[in-house]
Amino acid sequence: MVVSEADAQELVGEILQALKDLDCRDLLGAVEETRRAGVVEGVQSSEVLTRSKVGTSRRRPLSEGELLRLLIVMLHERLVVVPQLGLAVRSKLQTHMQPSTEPLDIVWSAEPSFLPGDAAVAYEFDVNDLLPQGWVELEDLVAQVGKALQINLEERNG
Amino acid sequence: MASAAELVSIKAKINGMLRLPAAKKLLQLNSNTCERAYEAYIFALCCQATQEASGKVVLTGVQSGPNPHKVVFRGAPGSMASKAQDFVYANCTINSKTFEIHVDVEYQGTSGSLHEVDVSFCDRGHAEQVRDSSGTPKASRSKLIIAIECKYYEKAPGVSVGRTFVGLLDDCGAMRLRLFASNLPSTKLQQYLAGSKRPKPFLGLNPIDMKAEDRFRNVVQQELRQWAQAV
Repeated sequence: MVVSEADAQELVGEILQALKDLDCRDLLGAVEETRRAGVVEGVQSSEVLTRSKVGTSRRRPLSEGELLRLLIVMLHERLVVVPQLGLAVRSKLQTHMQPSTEPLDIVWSAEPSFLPGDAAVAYEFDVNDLLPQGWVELEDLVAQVGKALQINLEERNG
Repeated sequence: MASAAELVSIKAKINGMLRLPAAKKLLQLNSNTCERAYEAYIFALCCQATQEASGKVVLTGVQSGPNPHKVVFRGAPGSMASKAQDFVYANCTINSKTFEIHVDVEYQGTSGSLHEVDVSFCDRGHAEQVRDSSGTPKASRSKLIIAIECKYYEKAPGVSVGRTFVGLLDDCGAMRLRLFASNLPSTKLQQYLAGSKRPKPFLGLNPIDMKAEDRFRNVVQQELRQWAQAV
């Protein structure tokens, strides 16, 4: 389906509200940063610009449709790519272990001596955190949303 | 244009998806977690490339030695010499050449400044000296062989991230290979990194793009083969 700017604005609002309800601060921060950055695009050269010898790139705000597309791409990265990262790390490193049949325990941990109080906790996680129960069905759901909104998730270019 | 019914349907689909327990957990991960996971993925690809170059790879804990029962990656950049935790690295051999692959360790540049290199290939002899002396590895040719900047982004990366890595590399000596990897493609960053002295870009490198993985591994593998043949 083709969405109008008004419809895109409504969908953007729904997604952002859901992210706020879930307290997804880092993602919301990334959205804000994206809005502030806008879009850099080339301006059609004209005789005036050529005579002025100025640059022909300009920054403009994102349209609602563009912001919606970016949000869907962000969701794809989180819900589809992140679990695949966890899976890839586990399976690829397994082959270098002896014996390779033992299940691999993979964690991330920071040196507490450089971090105040219990700040180190923010830097600690386990590969299973990237693969929460039920992650497998998310890829299909994200693909359905992308297809419905005519967003090609294989070309997630910016 | 979308009908009112279609709009209601897509909203329900999106809300339903975002409220699944698995989605909630993934969306609540902090960005540091995703970044570190991406670096570990690139490390794993490098281990694969080393094996494909007819090399031997042994995962090694800095405390426990070969084949640690638990693989511990750094949650934040640190010192190669640190034994505060059993941080893992890959101990590698190709022909008579020996090296180690590390994640998130700091190197000293030519100016004396310390730079964190996301994934690095370090000469083994130099790495052992660093651990024995509790020192810092040097970012100079023959010691830092390959440097890879890894960026996990929620949105397409801008030129500034490439610029930062180019600046870091300016303070390092010559090395065999310098790569920039990110999960998302970016036309502007690709253009910026097209210059002859810029790191080779691998934008859009992630586990769902098999061709991108193959290209990356082939470049690393070829470079290692060539280096291993050199006297």
